[in-house]
Amino acid sequence: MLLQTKLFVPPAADALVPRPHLLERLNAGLKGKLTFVAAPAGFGKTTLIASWLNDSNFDRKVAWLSLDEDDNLPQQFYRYVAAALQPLTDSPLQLHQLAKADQPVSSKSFAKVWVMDALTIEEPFLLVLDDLHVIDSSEIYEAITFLLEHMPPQMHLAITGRADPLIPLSRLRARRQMTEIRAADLRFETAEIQTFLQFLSLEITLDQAELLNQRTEGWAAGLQLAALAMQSPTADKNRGRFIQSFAGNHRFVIDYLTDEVLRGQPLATEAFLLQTSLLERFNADLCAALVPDADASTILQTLERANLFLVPLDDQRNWYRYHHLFADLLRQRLSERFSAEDINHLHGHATAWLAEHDFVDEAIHHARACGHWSDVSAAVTRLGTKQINHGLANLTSGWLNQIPDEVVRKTPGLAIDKAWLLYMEYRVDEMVPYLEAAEKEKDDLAHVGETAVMRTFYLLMKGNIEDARRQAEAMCEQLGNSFPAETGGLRVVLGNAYEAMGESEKSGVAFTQAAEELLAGENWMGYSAAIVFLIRHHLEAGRLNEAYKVGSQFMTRYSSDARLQHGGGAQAVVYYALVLFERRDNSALQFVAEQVEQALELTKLMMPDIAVVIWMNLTLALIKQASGDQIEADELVRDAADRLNAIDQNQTMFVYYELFVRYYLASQQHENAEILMGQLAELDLPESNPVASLHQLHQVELLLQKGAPPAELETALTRLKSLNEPVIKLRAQVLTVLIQHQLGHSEEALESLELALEMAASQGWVAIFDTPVGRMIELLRTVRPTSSQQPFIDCILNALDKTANEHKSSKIQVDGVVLEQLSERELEVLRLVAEGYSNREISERLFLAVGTVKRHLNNINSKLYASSRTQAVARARELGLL
Amino acid sequence: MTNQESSNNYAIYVQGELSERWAQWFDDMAIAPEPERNVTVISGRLSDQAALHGLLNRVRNLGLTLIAVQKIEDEIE
Repeated sequence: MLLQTKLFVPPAADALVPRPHLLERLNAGLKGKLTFVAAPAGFGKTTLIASWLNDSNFDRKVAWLSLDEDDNLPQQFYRYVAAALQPLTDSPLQLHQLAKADQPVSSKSFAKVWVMDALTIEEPFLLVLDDLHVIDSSEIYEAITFLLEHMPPQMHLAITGRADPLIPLSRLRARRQMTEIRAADLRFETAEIQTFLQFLSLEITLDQAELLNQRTEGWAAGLQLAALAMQSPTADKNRGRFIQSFAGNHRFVIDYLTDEVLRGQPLATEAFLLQTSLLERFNADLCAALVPDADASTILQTLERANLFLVPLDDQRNWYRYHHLFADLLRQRLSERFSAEDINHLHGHATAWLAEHDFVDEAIHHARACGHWSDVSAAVTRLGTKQINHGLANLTSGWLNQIPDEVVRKTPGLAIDKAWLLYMEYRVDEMVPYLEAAEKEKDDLAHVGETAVMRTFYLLMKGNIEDARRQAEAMCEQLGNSFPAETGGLRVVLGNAYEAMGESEKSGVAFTQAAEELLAGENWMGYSAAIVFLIRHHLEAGRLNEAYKVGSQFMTRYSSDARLQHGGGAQAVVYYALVLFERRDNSALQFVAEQVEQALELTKLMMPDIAVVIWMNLTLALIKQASGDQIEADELVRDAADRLNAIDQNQTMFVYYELFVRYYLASQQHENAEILMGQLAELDLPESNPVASLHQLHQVELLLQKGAPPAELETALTRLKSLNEPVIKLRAQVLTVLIQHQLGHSEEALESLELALEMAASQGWVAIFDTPVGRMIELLRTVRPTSSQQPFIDCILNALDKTANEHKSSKIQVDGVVLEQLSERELEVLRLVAEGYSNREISERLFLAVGTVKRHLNNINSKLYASSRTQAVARARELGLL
Repeated sequence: MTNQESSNNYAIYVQGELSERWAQWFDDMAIAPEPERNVTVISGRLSDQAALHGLLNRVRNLGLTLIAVQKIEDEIE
């Protein structure tokens, strides 16, 4: 839950001496990149910035973020930055996505997205980071440094802190791109002091003001305390004498003055101040929880009117905090006057109230101080699972990491979340003790259901299909209709179990129901996963139409619902893309391909699950290759191969081998295909495994592509006849057509083709006919007049022709002149290529996705009739373009 | 214990006069004001660098002006 108070722009303090010279400097500084105000506590840094922003002459949009120690966790920092900037623009910021990542995001990635998001804000704006000194995370400072180097012109950054920010300032200083305001600038001059006190109806002479200046050294906090002390009913009415005594006294200013101020308060108020000082932020309600006898709201009002270091945190005057310096002093006094036990009780009350009102992070602070975890446990139990279901797993993870492990294990509601989080990171064995701890709770049905989902998933992972099925079915019965999120999860388990047991129809029903229930139960992650399973289920059974229906329905929801646009949702989009690819639905595919590319960029930054990225890369590669982007496709596959090599090879990885082989065959990269197929053979999969059949298919295709002798091809035909799985049978049939044609059996080939068309027409399997070798288009044209599938043939020819044309246009080799001018952007890219930058580096410098850079390079190549970077650069130089 | 990390006595000088009541705030270090020089010496044993930086942070948070930080070598018996 975001604390809106951190984003609140402080109002200008009323009793403030106007400091026009500082305001002028600040305004002038807007031309540069950075303003920073560095001074120790109590010098009026925040007050200065606040009065600057509230000044009538200030006309920029403002994003404000008050930092505290918790913001050292980069994910938290990004969340708040995103929340601060979002109101400034209508486009949803990508920073939100980064903030939901399950693993640490590199500072570079964050910074890049930060800059990209800043670019979407059209009007000039100011981002204020208040109290930056609490941040000691080097990652965050790296990100800020990067931001400053690449800051869009419409943005200005303002920083306040008690120490110089840990960013390299010399360059900014040298180029006069920053404004520094330091303690010396903030100190009050004698005349200003006099004005300040006069404003508070405290008349003093210039000499007295001078004395006060010497004593406080123009320190704003000291002056405010002095003013309060002077206003205190117990203070000496003779101003001169008071100042004399205070100046003559050798005790430390703030020590003395605080005592004076506190002494002047009614006892009840003093007690109130001390006890509430251990709160970071408070409203009347929370204060009342700590100090039950006091009339909290009245006291707060009085304190604010008396300007007793109370800082309002919102417009409605609900939330406040004490000025940091004052809070520190009060806490010190608190520890002097109250026993440790009493202070513990205060923390206990605080954690109880905060937990009840869902302020979990702050509740955790206080729980740590007093060791009282039951309230926090209750809150996290209440909120943790929902957060995971909404794609914010890392937040729940953050909470659980701060709670002592014994507490987590003792609390079933926490243990189950911990188990989920471990499962999501594939730390399956580690999750067992937490799962067992969670199962101790047997009364709360929703919880029992949730635990059952976890348990049955675990059983599935361990290969214990029968037990998983039995338990899941039993639990579904027990839960009935009232727990959709839980039964939905169980049905996903059942879908997988039935599939493994060969009960295909039951599997489909289970997945369909699961999707409905998970959607109803608002488990977005679960819903997306169910859709993935469902689409895959239909695809493998050959039901392309069904897969398409499910996919397009999901896509409609996905494009309009930000909640789904999480890593899980992206995977479902990729499956949908695969469906469109098979149908060669080119226009829809174009749109979806762009979505996939965007999702892929973000997913690469976020997901711990590298396997998903491999999958997305390969699918995108197939799509690109089919539309003629061979260069980009190859790059994607190379990337996928690198990633695959980086992770532990285990049995489940053979799924990716299949996609790789398919790609290599589609682009006729025989050697690569053969290497992988060899590795697949070594895995020695059982005959029943569907990948085994695919493997056979690939082997035959390879023979055909390499131009094997007729005898081998004849044998291959027999092998093809033995393949019977739904889609594989169809692919085998297409290969049969090509082989027969190759062998010269024209009549048979045409007959086989007619059969293939009949098999494929009803579900619309178009892509299957786009074969890299063989004269499929010719054959289709030949069979068309007599075929019963004319509309389908036309459809295929239409789709294939388009791709053929695209192939042609990027392959024209003509000696001659450049017919089209290179665009500005293309020249930019080419220049960077000439300087030796890689695609990745170019994408960083120009803030494009890597894919876009490659697209540009493709265009450049075709415009210059070059077939490589080197050639393109050479041609461009020849033509005087570079 | 390594050389860098062995605990040491430190004396931190801040401007102004702080009363002894602040000892608790500074983890029971000794607080000794020196009025003639208008400084206060905060001294005691700190276990390592992290402890030292924590202490300096607290000095900063209070808005005290830091004058000097000295490591007091242990006397060799």
